[in-house]
Amino acid sequence: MTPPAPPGEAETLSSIERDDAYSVTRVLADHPSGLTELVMCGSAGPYVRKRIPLELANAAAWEEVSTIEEPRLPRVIETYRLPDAFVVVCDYVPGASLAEWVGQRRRLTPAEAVGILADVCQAAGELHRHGIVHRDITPPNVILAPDGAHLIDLGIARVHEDGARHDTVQLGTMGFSAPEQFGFAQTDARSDVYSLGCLLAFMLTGRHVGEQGFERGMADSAQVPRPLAQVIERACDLEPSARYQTAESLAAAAKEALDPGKALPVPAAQDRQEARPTTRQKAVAWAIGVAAAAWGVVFAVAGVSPNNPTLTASGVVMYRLFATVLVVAWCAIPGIELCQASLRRGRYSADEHPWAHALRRTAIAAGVGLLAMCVVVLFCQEVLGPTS
Amino acid sequence: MADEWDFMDKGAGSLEQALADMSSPDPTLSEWIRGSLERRGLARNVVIRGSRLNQTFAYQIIAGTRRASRDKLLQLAFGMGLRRSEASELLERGGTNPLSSGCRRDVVIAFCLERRLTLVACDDLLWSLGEATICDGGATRRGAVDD
Repeated sequence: MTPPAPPGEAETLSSIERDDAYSVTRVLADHPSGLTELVMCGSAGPYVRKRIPLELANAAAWEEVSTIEEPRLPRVIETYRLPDAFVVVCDYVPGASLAEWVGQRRRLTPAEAVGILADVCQAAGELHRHGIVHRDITPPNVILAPDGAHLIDLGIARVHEDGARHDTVQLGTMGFSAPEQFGFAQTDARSDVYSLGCLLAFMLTGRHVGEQGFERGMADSAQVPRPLAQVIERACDLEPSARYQTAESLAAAAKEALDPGKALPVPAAQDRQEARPTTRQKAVAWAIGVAAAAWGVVFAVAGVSPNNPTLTASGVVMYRLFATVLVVAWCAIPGIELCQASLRRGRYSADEHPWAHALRRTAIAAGVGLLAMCVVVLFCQEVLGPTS
Repeated sequence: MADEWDFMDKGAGSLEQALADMSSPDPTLSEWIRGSLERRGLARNVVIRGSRLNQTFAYQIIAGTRRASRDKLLQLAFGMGLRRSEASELLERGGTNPLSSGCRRDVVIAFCLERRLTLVACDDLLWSLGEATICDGGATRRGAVDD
């Protein structure tokens, strides 16, 4: 993501004019990630005006958001660029935040929690359909309005870039942000699914992940019924491809867990079909693994002739021993890796094909093994070698 | 002005006492400008246009993220329609010298500010009197080579 360029000369003055047209009623939040104010435009409003530093702003995401017509997402009134900030003005959603609501009530019943989750999933799903990842689905960013829950504060949303190695800006909230959000891989819709799972857990236990009492709350089936606990566990799996792949499937699973009779049917198979290896893949992987191991053994045993004049008898034994161990390990380990890769159930990152993963490890093991082999051969020939 | 330092004259024994009794901290240049704009109901873009400064630069001065030279601050003073004393305060808060009655150029500028002349008119006057103009890097009639 490249930050938006500062406005040109003509744009600056008109942006300043638009900025001055708003009068600030009060400041809602003031973070390094942006200043959020409640503003009026004359008698129109109230609106929420968010000033985002240019280097953190994602103009592309906001442009996309302004095309979205989803009642549970903030409606963007206008955006403009100032020399030091990207400014977004959107509707103000009155109501208590989920953080305040749960704070008051201590915890919510499963029915209430799943209802709110369904609303937030509806909003998140709409964002994902437009290629936007929210990245900050936390209790303060969920507002409970009369018509249900709304998801707000898209300040750090980003457009998913295929092939990007990791997010260029790492922001997030401890306890709700998926592990990949802290820089290890790119975030996508499934990172939001992780946050949604944490949100559900928070609503049911009244505590954040990692807070004291959270584990106890999760284990208490009066607070968190077992089926819902399983839904949360899957949604918050560390491996993105193991989670629910869409917000909708999470919502459906939660509803199903709450009341198995009434849930909407969602095909669960579609969640995992990219990750399941075919029988053919498995067979090929086994064949390679076994062949590699066999070749290693044959090479080690038959490769050294006892009549080799450059090695003494004990040298031969040592050589064979070293060679056997090394070559078997060299061939067997990647072979085992490939077998394991083919058998592993949905344990890959979906942006990396399982074969690529296993082959990469094979190549590394082979390289190390080859190097070690050369060292041993040289050692045996130079040191043990002296000949008759 | 003497009243400002009364708290210290009236027997502030220790430094801690003096610091506790001090008046509230002076506003920064940016705060002062914005306060002045608000009091006088002026919009930023009007001020920026009137000052003939580069818009981004002017925005940054008002936001407090750039420092400005004395002449640029004078341009801003004209844009804001300040009088002589207010303009002097603006210069001081901006870290430069206030308008001096002993300096010919400053007297001309002060005259224009008091009469609410535009920046262009002031520069014309300065030019005609052989003084350095405010805009255009302080060119003077005497100093100009290709005239």
